[in-house]
Parts: sequence; structure tokens; C-alpha cells
Amino acid sequence: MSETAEILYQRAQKGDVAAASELVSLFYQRIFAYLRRLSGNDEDAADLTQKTFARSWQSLASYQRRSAFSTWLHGIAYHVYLDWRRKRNPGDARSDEWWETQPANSPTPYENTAERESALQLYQWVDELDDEKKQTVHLHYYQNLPLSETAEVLGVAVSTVKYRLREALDFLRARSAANELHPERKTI
Amino acid sequence: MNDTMIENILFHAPSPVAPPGLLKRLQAGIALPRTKSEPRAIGNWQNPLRRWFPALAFSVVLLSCAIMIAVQGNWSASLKQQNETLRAAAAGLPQLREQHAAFEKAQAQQDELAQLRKDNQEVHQLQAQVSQLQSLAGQVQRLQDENRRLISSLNAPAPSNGNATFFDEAQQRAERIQCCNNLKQLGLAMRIWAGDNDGKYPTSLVVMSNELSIAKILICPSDKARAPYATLGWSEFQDNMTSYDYLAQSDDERYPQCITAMCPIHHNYLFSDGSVQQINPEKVHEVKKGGRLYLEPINPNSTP
Repeated sequence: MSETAEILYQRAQKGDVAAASELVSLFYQRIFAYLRRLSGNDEDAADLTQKTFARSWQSLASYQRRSAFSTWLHGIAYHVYLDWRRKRNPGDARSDEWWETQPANSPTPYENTAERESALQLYQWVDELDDEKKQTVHLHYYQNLPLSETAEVLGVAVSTVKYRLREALDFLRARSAANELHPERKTI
Repeated sequence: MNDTMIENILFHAPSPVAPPGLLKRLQAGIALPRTKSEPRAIGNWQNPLRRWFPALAFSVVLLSCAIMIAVQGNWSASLKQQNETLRAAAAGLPQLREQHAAFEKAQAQQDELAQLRKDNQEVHQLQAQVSQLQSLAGQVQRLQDENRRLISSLNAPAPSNGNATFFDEAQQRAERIQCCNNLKQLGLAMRIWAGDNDGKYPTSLVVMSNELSIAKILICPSDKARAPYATLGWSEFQDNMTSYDYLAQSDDERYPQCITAMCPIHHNYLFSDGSVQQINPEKVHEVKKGGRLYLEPINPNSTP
């Protein structure tokens, strides 16, 4: 995919709109999913996706090919999200309905309802992480970016990414252990 | 849950599906900036030009300055040469001025000489004309004398022959005597007039109207052509109407023998002293001396 994206990118850089359109169809789902998980609703996610691609077209010439095109695009999306969150009213509550509806509509590895509930619980705990760790978890686990690309998107070292993931896993494991000991304290 | 399970769940987290229509909106919103690589591809030749433009511009300016300096140097050299030429020419200017003055002087003399030659020719021409006129004047004098003689012969009474009557001769004699009387009265009037005018005779007859009393005195009784003038008053009478030749000049009183008036018909002469003589034209003739007429005998031995 990355080789195809590279070719499409080169054509788009020369002004080929068809290639740019192809790039959009290749990446818009992943970018939308990333922003949807962060923003909490479809409308904002769609707007942020549009802004992400608009900014990518503006910055097309500045892309230096030091990383994969998808990494570069995730970096733009990450900064678009940060700008949006700064302007956003801090009191706006995030919708959590998606976590309950999406797993049922998509193929999952869950074998029973208990596992599904555990997964939903885990996703909710991820949202409780602080922002840096949450962004790291989203990019690495949800978006399946390698450690190096995650580090590049966030603008930090790979070791920092590893550290944050370690911390996040410790947190999630601790919450899971606590939940097993006190099932009545479930938040969902 | 251990870390592996947690990571497995996280790696397989459900992915939200994009709403329908988002793809079209995104594709419609594609706004690719103008590619900057195209001019590079098209204008590879521009890169060296752009790279060398400052050097080329400086070289052009330098070359222009060099050309300007060369042109100005050439111009300056030519001006210097002209200046030296003019100075050299100005050095010989006083000598040229002297030569020019000498030339102008010589030219003026030449012009004057030419003018003198022309004047000389005119003088010669005038002298020739004068001599011609003098000869013509002599001819005129002779013609006048001849004319008078012819007139006197024409008006003279026919020589008496057997046909002439006694009365005709008496008439002619009476007219001749009357003519003498007229001249005497004219002479008397002249002397009276001179007495009133510092001894000078009048040069006109009309001015003696008071002394002459009537104009009839100035008409010869034998001059039938002028007989009508005898009745005119002094206001109408003019000098040329008289029958006599009035020759008086203002200072004639000092020349008593000069002729002051004469009758061309009867050859009666009035002299300056007031005397009147009737002469025979075959024995005397008129001679002009000092602008005055005198009578001299043709034959010096004979008396008039």
C-alpha cells in the first residue's frame, strides 16, 4: 500500500487530481476512524477529516518523504485534532455511545459477551488515560502504526513511546485487576 | 487480564465507519497547489541563467561603463585636438587682421579709383556735351538774327514804288514816329521807376503800371497782331503781350549805351540813358558784351 501511496503522491504532487482522489479513498477511512475515536462524534470527525486532507493538499510540496505517507497524514490529523480541541469548549461532553454500538456491527475477536464487555471496559479505561498516553495508545494500537511512526507523529522519541505504552498497559492492567476484585465498581 | 490480552484487545479495537458521502466531499475538496516542479522541468535552461544573472548583470554594467569611458575619452581627445587647432589658428590672428585691413584698404582704393575713372568719363562726356551745346547756341544765335531779319523784312513796308500812295508812306512814317514815342515814354517811365527804387531798372514791364499809365504805350502801332492788347487794363496785361523786346537789367543805369528795349519791326532802340534811336540794320548790328546788347557799326568807318 505504501508503494502505491508513494506513486499516487508523486502524481498528486505534479497536479494529478485523480491520484489525489485515489489517495483520499485509500486513507480517509483510517483518518476518519482515528479522529472519530478522539472527537467522539461523526460530525466533528468528518469536519476534522476534511480539514486534515485540505491541510495535506496545502502541505503537499513540503512532504520530504522521510516517513511513510500514512505517517505524514496521521501527523497532520493529530495536529488538526489538537487545534480543534484547543478551540473547543472544555465543557463539551464526549459521547460514549459509539463503543457500545460499534463492536456489535463489526467483526470482533470476542468469543462471548463477557469478553465483549471486558473489551468495552478496556476502551473506556483507555479514554481515562492522560492525553499523551491516550494519543500513543490510539496511534499504536487502534491505528496500527509502528513504534517509530507513532513516535514521529507525536514528535517524540521511540523510547518515549515505549515508556508511555508501558505506563498505559500498567494502568489498564491495574484497572482490570481492580475490576476483577470489585466487580460492583464497574463504571459501565 | 495480562498485557498480551490487553494488547490483543486494543489491536483489534473496532474501527468507526465513515459516514456515506464523506468520500465524495473529500474528493470534491481536493485543491492541489500549483506544482513548482513544472517550471523546473520546462525551464531547465533558466536555472543557469538565474544562477549567472547577477554576474551577467554586473558584467553588462561593467562593459557599459567601459564603453562609456572609451567613448568619452575619444570625445575628449578630439576636443583637445580641436582646441589645439583653434589655438594655433588664433596665434596668427593679428597678422591675419593686419592683412585683412590692408586688403580692405586696397579694395577701398580700388573702388575709389574705379569711381574716379567713372567720374572722369562723365566729365569727358559732359565736356563733349558742353562743346556741342555751345555750337548749338551759336547756331541758335544765328538763327535768331536771321529770324529777326526775316520778321523785319516781312513787316517792313513794301519798297515804295510807283504804286505806293503818299498816304501810305505818311501812315508808316507816323507809326514809326509813334513807336519812337512809345519807347521814349517807356524809357522815361523806367527812369522814374529807378528813381523810386534805388536807381535800379525794373526787369518787368507790368511793375511800371503807375509810371506808364496805359498799356497801349507797350504796343507798336505797326504790330497789328498785338493791337487788341492795347485796350487791356493792367490787371490783364502781361509782359509777353508787348510788341517790344524788353532787355533791361536792374543795373543797366550804369551802362548808358546798352540796349534796354527795341522794336523788332521798326528797329527803334531804347538805350539805358533813355535815348531812342532808329537805325538801319544793314549798317549796324547787335553785339553782346557782358550779358548786355550794344549796337556797333558793321563797317567801323560808317556811323549808324
